[in-house]
Amino acid sequence: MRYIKCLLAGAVIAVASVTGSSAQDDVTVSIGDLTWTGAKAIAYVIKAVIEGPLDSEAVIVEGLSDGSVIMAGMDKGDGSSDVYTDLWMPNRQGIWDKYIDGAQSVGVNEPYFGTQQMYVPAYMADRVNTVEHLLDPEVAAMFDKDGNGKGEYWAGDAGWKSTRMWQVKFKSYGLTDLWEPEILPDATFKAQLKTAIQREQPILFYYWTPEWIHAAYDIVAIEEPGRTEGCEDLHLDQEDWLEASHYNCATSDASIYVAYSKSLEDRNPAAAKFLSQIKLDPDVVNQWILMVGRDKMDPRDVAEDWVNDNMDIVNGWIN
Amino acid sequence: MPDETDIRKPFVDFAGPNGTYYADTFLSIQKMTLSRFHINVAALVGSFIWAALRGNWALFVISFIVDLITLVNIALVYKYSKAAVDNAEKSYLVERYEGWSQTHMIAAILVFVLGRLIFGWLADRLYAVQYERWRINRKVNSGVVASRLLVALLTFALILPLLLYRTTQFSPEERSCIRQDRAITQGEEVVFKKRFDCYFIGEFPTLFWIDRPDEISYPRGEDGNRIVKRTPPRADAPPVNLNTYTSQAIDDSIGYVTVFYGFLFDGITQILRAMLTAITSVFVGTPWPIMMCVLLYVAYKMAGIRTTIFVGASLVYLALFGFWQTAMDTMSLVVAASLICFIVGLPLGIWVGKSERGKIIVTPILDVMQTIPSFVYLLPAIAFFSIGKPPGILATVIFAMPPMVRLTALGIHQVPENTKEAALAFGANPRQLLTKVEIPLALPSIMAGINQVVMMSLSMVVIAALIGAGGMGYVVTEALENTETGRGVLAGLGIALLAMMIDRVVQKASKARRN
Amino acid sequence: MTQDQSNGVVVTRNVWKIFGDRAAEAMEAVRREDLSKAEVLERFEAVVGVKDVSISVDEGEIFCIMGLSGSGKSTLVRHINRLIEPTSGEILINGENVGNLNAEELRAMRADKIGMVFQSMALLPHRTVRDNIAFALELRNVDAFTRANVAERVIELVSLQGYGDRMPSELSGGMQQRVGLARAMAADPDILLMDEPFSALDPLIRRGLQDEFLELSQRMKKTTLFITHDLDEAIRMGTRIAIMKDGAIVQTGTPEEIVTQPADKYVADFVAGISKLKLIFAHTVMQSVEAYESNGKPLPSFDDCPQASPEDDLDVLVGLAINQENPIVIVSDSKPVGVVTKDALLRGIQGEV
Repeated sequence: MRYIKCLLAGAVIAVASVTGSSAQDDVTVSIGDLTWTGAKAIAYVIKAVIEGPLDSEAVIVEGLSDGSVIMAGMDKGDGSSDVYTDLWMPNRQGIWDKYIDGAQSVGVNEPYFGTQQMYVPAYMADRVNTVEHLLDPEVAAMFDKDGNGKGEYWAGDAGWKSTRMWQVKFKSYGLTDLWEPEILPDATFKAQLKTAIQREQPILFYYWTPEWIHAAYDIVAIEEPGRTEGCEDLHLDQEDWLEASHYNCATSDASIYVAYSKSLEDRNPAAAKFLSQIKLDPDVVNQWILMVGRDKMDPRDVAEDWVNDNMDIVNGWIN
Repeated sequence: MPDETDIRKPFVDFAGPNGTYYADTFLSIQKMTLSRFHINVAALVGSFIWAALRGNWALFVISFIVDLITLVNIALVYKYSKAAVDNAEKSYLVERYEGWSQTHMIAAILVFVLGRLIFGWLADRLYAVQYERWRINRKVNSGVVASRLLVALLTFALILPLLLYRTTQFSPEERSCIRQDRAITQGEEVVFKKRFDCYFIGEFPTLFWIDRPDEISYPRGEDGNRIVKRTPPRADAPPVNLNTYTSQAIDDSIGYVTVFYGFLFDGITQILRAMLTAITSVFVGTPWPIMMCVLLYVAYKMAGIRTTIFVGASLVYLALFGFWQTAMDTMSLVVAASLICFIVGLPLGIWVGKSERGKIIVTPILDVMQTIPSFVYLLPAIAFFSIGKPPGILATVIFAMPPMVRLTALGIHQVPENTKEAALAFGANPRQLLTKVEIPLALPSIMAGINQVVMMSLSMVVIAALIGAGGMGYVVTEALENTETGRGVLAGLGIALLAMMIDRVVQKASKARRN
Repeated sequence: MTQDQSNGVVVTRNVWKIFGDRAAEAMEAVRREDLSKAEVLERFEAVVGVKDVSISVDEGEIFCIMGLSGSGKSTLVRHINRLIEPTSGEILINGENVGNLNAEELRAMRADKIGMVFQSMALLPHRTVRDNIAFALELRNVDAFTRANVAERVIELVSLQGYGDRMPSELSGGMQQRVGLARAMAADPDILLMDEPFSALDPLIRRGLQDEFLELSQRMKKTTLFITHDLDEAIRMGTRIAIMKDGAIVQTGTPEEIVTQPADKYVADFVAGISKLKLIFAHTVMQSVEAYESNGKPLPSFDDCPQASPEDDLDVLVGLAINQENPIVIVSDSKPVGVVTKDALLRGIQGEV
């Protein structure tokens, strides 16, 4: 048996030496695999453009879903990750400051805009549709699932700046005695939302456009006071961010960028040029999101079909 | 001293043709005088044909694999050289394919030369083993038989063509095969090669397509009650495969249950919440000085002074780094989960330990509970038990209960038959047998089970945090989401210290019991 | 056994035990066709453990069941308290059919009437010696005070004073088996089942415990079934001995009967190596005065001859015959009833009588 082991070991080494050589090449564009549908759809469109009209290579690195990790890889510029498909600003101000303004190792395109609001399902809308309503203890009690006297709202996932932003806003609206945040991953929240809507239970949550849940579920945004001078004063990176910040008006539109590693300018100039020029239309992104998230179509098909049908737009990006 | 020819006779009988050579070799193997570099040249050259003729199938497999790997590598060299020529206009592809082709060339030579050498070296040594077996059992292959060669060549002929074809072709993408499948059903002509490639050298083919199931929703009917509404899929919606169809069915049943029987789960959620509230009020509600003293006292009583010092140090760590409340929060979650594991797991374990049927039913369930990725049941748990601590507890229970059942069963199973017999002989009834003999004797194992449960519960707190169970797990996830590595390490260490504290105390306590 | 069996304290009637999934079927076939053990195994994949055993144990006697391992002796004894159910046949204790007891009655009988001692001791390691001894009482819900009293008494009986609060693991093998014995006696049962109780002990300790048990047994007068694989032990302990082979009883009788009149070659081979000095008595080896004189040799006057009684064993006779020309005269009621010559004595030692 000892002999056989020797032989097997030899074979394994030989095979390993073969497969080892098929590691990522320099030209290959590695795209981050962010979890929300918009980011996914954009990732597949970018891949389709690079592999189609640009006739180069791109991979969506499965499981590469952590924003900070993707950015760190882009900063390194070794091809381990090259594209951050859906960079929400100012939600990701920390990343922006560190890599785009600071190290300047990451470039961005021209952004498209998204909105961020609090929502309730339509069947709750006659009871709750403005911030004023949230101040009603009876309303808060309806949303209280764990019986501790405070209503729960989903503020986003741990690590999103918007999560802190909503906590600041609830504080600034004077809602902290009545409401408490739930901080959960998007997937977990979506599961909760689905059940809540199926069972017609009250649920208050942060969401954004473009996303498919607006088409899938009948949901209504909570009206917030209009923006005034000085209504937004955020210091979310401080130790005492909650006390130090203040925000008591509607959220400004988010700018959403595609960020890419500047190392691509050497490794795959055509792709770098494309990524710096890509200009996304929120309506189009929303259309992709619907097909992928709601209609459960294969994102590869969605992306390739769109690219084939809209070569004029794509040509504008790559030339 | 027996005659030299007498000694050699069995070797010659066994080996048949070329008997003298094998007699010499086997003799020197037995005398341990065989040269360290001895190689059977016939085997080296003949490879698997030699092995087949000699009827040594272990050697046959080895040499067969060596030759196959060589051939596959040569095929790959051909494939990539061709690909390099085909993609001549893209310099990066040419570079890549030429690199690969070179690597495979080296691999082919390396495997062939080394493999054959090792095989030649192995051949006589393993053949001697076959001789030893033949001495015991004359049915073991001996001599040289031509019909075995036929088997070998048939195997070769069966495997080689498809394998070589597979390696020289770029395998089709799964998606293009699905498209092709649809095209075929719509009556389009597809060339044989493409069909063949999709069926045999890619992913396992989709054998049948199922019509997309109806969309199911639960609107309110005219009387205000929820009804089931089926919406047929769009006419142009493509059919789906078995996987999609089944997962849709699972989603639909979960949806149906939550809509119409959600109140049942609400009841369970309420019970869990009440239980947790009680436990939390002890751990979190008690002011930290009192709680710390109580924990130290318990540790001292159960496990002695050295463990108490460790527990004290860990508690100080948690307190100093600002984890006290969070840690106590996590403790309550772990205690609640462990309690449920104990209450459910102990009787289950006893059943498994005592009944063969119980074992057959429960063991596979435990295997699934332990190995199924927790995310798979986290989302359904949300559907049934909403967000927060109750589903967190349940998810933890699913993951942490198996060792309780297994170790209880083991303990019960290991109670000596004669001890049980003695108890019966003195008139024990089944309940007395269980409480006075089996459980006390299984106690060390049960304690080990509890220990495992606690440890595994703690390892679940991070995952439970993903569905809003909070506690130390949330600190870790938040820190990692913000790439605050340091904070994550501190919190992670806190979890580890919690686990070690409980582990040391339980272990010491059960050891003290035994002595 | 010709006596009326129902007189015994423990009686088995035609007890069969066949192990295996098809035991009932095999039993039918055995009744019909008188199959051998090997045939049963081959045809029904069933093992004959006990084969048509009928015994009757009298009150107060030590009834030894002797056989090699696999002979079915342990299986047989487990039928008495129904740890094993017979495939066929019945077991009577004090005339009551054990098979008819319901579960609760059976437990009561096990706890109150039958004590059992195991080769493996089978003590409960998590309980003190005292709690082990009082186990049967505890199972019958006897209060703790009474239990402690009873246990203390039995502890004295087996000379374990001062060990009541120790754990079994702190005791030597011999002492552990005393605990086992004490546990069996604690409920003051009528019947003791001893399943090779001394086999696991080393010879010196075994000898001591055998003597102690004999002494105890004479005092307590318990009806005892004593299982052993050691013929020496059986002869030492047994009032009567049953020899088992392949599940069946080959011979039943007093030690002397077994030694002097082995029923078949199997038993004869067994007893061949046994010292007969203590087993054969003068009345077995003596010849009548007339027979002695018919050889033409007149008997010397009684006063010149050593004298012994018919119940003296060979050991005594050998002592008398040393340094003595004359034969030994056996005297009963001061009358000579027989003569033992040196030849007869030597034959007796060989076991040929």
